[in-house]
Amino acid sequence: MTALSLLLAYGGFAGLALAQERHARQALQRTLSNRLQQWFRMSGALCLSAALIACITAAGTASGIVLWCGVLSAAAVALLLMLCLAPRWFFMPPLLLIPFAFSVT
Amino acid sequence: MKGAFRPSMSWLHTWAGLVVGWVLFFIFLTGTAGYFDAEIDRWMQPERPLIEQKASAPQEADGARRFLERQAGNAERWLIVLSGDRLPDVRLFWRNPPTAAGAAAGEEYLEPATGNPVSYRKTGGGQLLYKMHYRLHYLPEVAAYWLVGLCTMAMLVGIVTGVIVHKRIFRDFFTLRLAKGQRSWLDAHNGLSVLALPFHLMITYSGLMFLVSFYMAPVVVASYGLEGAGRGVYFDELFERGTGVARSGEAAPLAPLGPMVAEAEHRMGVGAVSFIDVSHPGDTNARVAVTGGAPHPTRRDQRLLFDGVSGRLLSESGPRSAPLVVFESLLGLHEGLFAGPVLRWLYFLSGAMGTAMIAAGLILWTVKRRARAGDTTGFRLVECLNIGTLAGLPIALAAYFWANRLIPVGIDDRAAWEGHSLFLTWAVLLIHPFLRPAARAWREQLWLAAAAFALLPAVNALTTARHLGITLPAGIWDLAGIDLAFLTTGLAFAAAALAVTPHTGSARAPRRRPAE
Repeated sequence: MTALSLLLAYGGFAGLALAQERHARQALQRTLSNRLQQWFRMSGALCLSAALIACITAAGTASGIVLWCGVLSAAAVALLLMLCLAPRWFFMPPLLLIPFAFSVT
Repeated sequence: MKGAFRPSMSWLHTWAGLVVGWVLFFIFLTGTAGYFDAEIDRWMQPERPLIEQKASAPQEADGARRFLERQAGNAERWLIVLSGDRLPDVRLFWRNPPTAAGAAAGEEYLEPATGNPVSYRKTGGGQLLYKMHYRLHYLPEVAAYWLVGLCTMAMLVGIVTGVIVHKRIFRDFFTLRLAKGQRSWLDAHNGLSVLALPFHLMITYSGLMFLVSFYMAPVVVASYGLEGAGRGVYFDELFERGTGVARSGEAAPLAPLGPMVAEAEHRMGVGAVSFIDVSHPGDTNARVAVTGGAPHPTRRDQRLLFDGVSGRLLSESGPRSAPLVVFESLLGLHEGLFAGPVLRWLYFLSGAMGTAMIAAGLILWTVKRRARAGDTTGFRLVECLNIGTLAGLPIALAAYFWANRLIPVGIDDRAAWEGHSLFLTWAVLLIHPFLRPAARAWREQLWLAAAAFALLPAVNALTTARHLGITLPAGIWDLAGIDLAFLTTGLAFAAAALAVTPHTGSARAPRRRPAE
């Protein structure tokens, strides 16, 4: 569940980032249409909320909220570093997490 | 006024941050290491068995009682901390009556399985690092608490003003531009602050809360009087920990602790009992309080009070008041004792980001002013303190671990000398930058930091049987994790050292152009 929440948080932040012109150009070498930007922003926010649900499922309400804050920070740092060092490969870290995403803990 | 608001906040942010920045770096670095206090404790006592022996909670309590009756039969209070996931030993503390001859208090650590005192090397362990972050080691307690409080307050000011000054939190959320001098340091400082902002706010505000009754002592004094005893009453009432009865003076044997602990485990869950507080052992008014509960951010522990002679359950702790829950939640969040392995690593990551944020802020101060004021005394002082602290303190931390492996086992004050090694090393590294050109001092200290950390696993392998060659195959991750963290830290410092080492002339010019 924690891996799933990391996956969701990273995906959510990636959505928010790609909705910005600068990062879309970095990662995709193009900018997105207004509609797509809006769509990315929406689904990004949705993923971040889903990460909260995953955290609470994994650790209970109180610890889950704390866990969510930690997961958000970790995911955001990972994305920041990817966008800075290897923007075209920004989708790689989640692929590493997928094998663990459906474990219960 | 409106136009001047942001610049004045910016001024406050810069100078509030600079004045306390080095102390904050110390607090954040040692505090972050403190999240792995138990793991570091274990690393620093390589004599411990690879797999620690466990015993049931009632057995541990009975073993502790046998020891205490032999060694502290006349004490007025015993405290028994049972072993746990991250606490391999049973820890005993006792307080003798004020009238008794000899020491006022005592402590001992026992092996859970045998009930015998442990005989591992004396070390400050991770506990010393954790304690350092608010006790500042050498300073008198009162001075340390005030200094830490002032610095924490400045940190809080820094966070609030930082949020005000940062004009584009959301637009620059993922922005980090490399190799652009001042711009890059600002991006790094912003990123490290914003991406862990909830943690920074929580850790700073709750840090102040720990000592709130110290900083705001008059509030307590107003209701409980100026005497030290009044403070004791205040804390006993706040945390409901007094038993409310005095010694009768008549002797009566203490009932067995095992059944009381078993009763507590029945209510709280097996393995949930954390400590046992026995007051007036051997007296007819003996009381036994058993505290425990599943780890939780709000520290919602249960407390059962037993009659120490009959073993009968007298009372159970009731629900806490809302303000107390808020207060204890803040402390619980700060300590992170409820965190499992993943969340503990996230705590560590957030703490490391806070440490790095402070470092980036201090470096930014110099980068911004180098052209303008690079040859003034003030600038030179800041730069030297930066080198000696941002690179020097991590090296000193490594020296602490080196000392643990190299100081002979059994010499007097061994644990104290581990601590002295840290501060002696730091002192030397604070002087070193004043004798060298700044760029050179950076390079030398960063390389030294890389070597000091990267070689620690090797020193460990040469001096103990708890090195990666053994811990990795055995899957002892809390020991292997420390060695691996040393290696990673060493590599990170090596990367930093490479970054400040000038490239050869031909390589540099073409590398920068395409990025523009």
